[in-house]
Amino acid sequence: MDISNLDNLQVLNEQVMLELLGDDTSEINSFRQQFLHQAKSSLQKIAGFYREQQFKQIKDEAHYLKTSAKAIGAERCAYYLQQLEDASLELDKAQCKSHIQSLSSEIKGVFRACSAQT
Amino acid sequence: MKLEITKTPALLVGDDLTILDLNDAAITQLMLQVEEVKNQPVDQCFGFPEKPSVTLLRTWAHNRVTLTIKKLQAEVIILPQEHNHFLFLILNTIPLEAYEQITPAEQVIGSWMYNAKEHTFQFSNTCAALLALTEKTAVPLETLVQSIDMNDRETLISTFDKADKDKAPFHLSLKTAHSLDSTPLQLICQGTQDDTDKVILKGLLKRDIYSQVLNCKLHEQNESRKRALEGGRIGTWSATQVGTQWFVRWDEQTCKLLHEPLDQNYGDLDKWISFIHSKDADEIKRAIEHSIKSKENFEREYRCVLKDGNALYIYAKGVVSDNKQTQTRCLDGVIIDHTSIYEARMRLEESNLLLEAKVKSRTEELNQAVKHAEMASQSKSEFLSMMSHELRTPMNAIIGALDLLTHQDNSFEEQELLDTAAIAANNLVSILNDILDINKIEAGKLELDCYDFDVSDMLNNIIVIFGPIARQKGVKLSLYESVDIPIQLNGDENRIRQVLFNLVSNAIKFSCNSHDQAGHVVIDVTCEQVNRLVNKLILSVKDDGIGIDNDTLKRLFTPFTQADKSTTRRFGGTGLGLAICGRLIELMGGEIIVNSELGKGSEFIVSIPIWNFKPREHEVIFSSANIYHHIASEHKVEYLVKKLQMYIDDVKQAPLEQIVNIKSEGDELSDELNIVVITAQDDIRTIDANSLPSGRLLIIYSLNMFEQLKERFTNVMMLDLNTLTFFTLHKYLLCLKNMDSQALLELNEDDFEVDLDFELDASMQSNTQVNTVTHAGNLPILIVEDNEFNQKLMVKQLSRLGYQCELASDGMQGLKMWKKGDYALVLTDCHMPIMDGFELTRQIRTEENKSAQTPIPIIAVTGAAMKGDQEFCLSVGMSDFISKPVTLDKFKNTIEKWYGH
Repeated sequence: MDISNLDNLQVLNEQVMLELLGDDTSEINSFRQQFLHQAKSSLQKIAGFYREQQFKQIKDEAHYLKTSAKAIGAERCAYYLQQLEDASLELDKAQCKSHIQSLSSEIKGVFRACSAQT
Repeated sequence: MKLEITKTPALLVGDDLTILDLNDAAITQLMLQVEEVKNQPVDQCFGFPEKPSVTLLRTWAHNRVTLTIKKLQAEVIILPQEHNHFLFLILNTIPLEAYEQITPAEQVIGSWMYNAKEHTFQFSNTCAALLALTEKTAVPLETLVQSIDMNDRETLISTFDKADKDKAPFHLSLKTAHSLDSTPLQLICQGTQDDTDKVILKGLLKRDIYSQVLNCKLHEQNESRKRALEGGRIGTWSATQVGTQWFVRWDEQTCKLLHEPLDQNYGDLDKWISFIHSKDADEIKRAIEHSIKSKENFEREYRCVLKDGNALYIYAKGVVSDNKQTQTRCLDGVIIDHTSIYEARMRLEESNLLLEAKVKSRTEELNQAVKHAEMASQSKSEFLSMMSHELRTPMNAIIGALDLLTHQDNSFEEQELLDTAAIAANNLVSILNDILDINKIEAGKLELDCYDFDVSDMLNNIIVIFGPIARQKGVKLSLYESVDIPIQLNGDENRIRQVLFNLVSNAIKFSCNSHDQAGHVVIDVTCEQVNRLVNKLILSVKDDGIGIDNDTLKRLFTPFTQADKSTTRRFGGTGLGLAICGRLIELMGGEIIVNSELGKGSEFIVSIPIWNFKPREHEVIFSSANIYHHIASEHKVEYLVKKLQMYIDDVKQAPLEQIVNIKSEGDELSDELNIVVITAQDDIRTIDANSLPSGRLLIIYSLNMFEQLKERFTNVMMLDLNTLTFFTLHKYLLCLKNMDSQALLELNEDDFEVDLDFELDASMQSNTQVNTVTHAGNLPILIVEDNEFNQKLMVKQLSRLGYQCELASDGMQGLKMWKKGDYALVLTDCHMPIMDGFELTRQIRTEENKSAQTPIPIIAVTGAAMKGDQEFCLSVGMSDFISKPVTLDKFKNTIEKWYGH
């Protein structure tokens, strides 16, 4: 999955999970639910790290969540997590803030997409 | 003289009274031999009543005389010829014996006796009648002579003079003076009565009835023809050309028509033409000459000038024929006086001209009236559009302010008041929308926006909206969806929903709701096949309300019409709803039928043709399910089971009590679905909340017992049987199937909010329940709005959403600020003084193009709500469109969509 160009990315690419797990809907929903719980927790952690300007921790948490995001097909989330990783490496607080806000917005999008399918 | 030219037997007699020649017809028909007749004295061939002489023949000229020839009685016409010759034309013959033997039916015969000494007659009755005499005895010869036609008198006298002397038999053919009939009487002398007394002659007087009848008929027909020609004002004429000479003859009627003396009925062509109007004369002359020359029939209309100066309008027609005997060509024709027709035609033309002028003037008046009406209609549209904008702008402020207030910590009373104000404000916006709708429909500007949608989803929408309203009013709301309604159909969902909204809203409004009986509104939705391609979606809304009288029914779909003024006072409304429904259904090609009875209720049945649709197919969510119920009505059970069977392969039914025995063991989630149907208070008591199986359980209830059930059975999914839709059933069953992901329901969007900034206004945070995201540090939003209150409201709303704003009060100021500053996006009103939002957008886009800048998102925030307005906004370069009133959610969604782009 190439996550470098935002225009081509989907909020929730259902095909990704179908390719990983087949058409077991309940299994897919379960993984998505786990991701959202993880995202909720990670997002709060990232916000805390941002307020404390702990860029390394931001980078690590973002990287951790990015793997899960890619797995369930949350492509736009993965993109912003990548951007957040890059910005935190460069210690660019303003960019980090912008990317965290975008990430928050994108995770809400994933939540809406998952809710619509259940 | 060529005798062969005629088929009538003919003999030519010379001045010496010898037969000079005879034709073939005479030879064959009269059985004459040429040698025994030719050059023989004529009286040897014919029996004459007296000795023939040239003088006698001349007196008989052109008349019919009866002669005998051989054993025949012959009707002969004697025509004088050149050189004192005579042509004998034998017209008809009958054998003498036959003549004598004519039956009384064919002949009338009288007898007479003549005293040659006293010159007096004795007549039989018949004889006297034939002669029209009253005396019968001793009638003087003179009396007989007087009763005979003038022309025959001399012959009669001379014959009796001769008979006085020779007493020989004779035969005379005479015409009577009295009769119109020209058939001659046959006066036959049979000789003396007895040989001893040679003074008395006896004889017969006969008339041939057949011939008389024929003559009468002929006379009648001639008279009839004459009368017809007179009545029709038709004259006859005949023009013959002999060499260069023209001979024209015309009849008595023509003379009368042309006011010419009756005896002047002939002349040359110039004389005939002299009757014609000088302007028409040449043309008519040429036409007659042309007809004669070319043998083409003559037909013309022309004018004749009478001696008194009056004009006649003549229609003349003629047929050309050749006369082979005379080697001449003749034009026989008629003239018909068309003056009255012409005058009538002229009057008709005059009246036509008058009518045309009137029509023209009326059409002009009508066009003028149409223009005025169109102008009035346009003014009305403009007024309504303007009014919409002017009213919606302050409404935006009111609704926005109320929206903000409802998000604060309010006391119960305050919240009630705010809710009331919000409902009233939203109702006012609905009325404005209705007025705009009817205006659009009447102007023919309303277009349907068709797309695929789920009817059941739409019905669920109706139930979600009207369920609480009906409950609040104490009205029972039921919905029946037939199994055949499509899962997806192509149509204008919003407009169909609008129709249903209106009908259901009216039904609830007018539904009967007394102390002893709750009102009941039933929505019934079915789908019927019209033909192979077309189906009909039938939506019926029935209430048991006040009903509608017949007079009102007739004008029910007319705008601004309600049953009567008291209805408006009692129930409110503008009377636009049904008019809009009627027009929308018409636009969709459907129809609406209303059945109503005063005091008993009304039923509105809407049918809409549908072409593109996808039938609802069986979709297995559960392979089996148990349904526990006490429903007595088979129809209700069947309806529920049919619905469930769309998603469940095997639906097993069991009495309600059995639900307690199937409690699942352990924590393992059972795959089995259990459905409990509760339709009575006793049902609730029957089951113990703690004995219900855990896992996949669905309660379907009827009656108004939701609150009671919710209290008793926590964490159980529940559906109302009366308003159960395929959409909700499918959604709930899927949810039950995916119980694993039930936890997902515990999450909400707010869980994904992050708070990155501590610089927010603490006071603002304290009195709001909305979690906000601040965008401070990012680029501000430029608000271009002329209304001061709206400016404040928008700033407040945007700050709630965490955005910074800068204000411009018109397009010009906005443009200047955009040039100087750096903004994330522009929110602009459309209609403003100095420079409106459209011009502002055009100028910004032009500047961006010049400097190859990335276009800034420009979002229109306007009170105008027409579909065309949105398109216009996009066409001038705006990025999006928000219709006032703008709620926080609407702002949030749109700005999130564009912010940072």
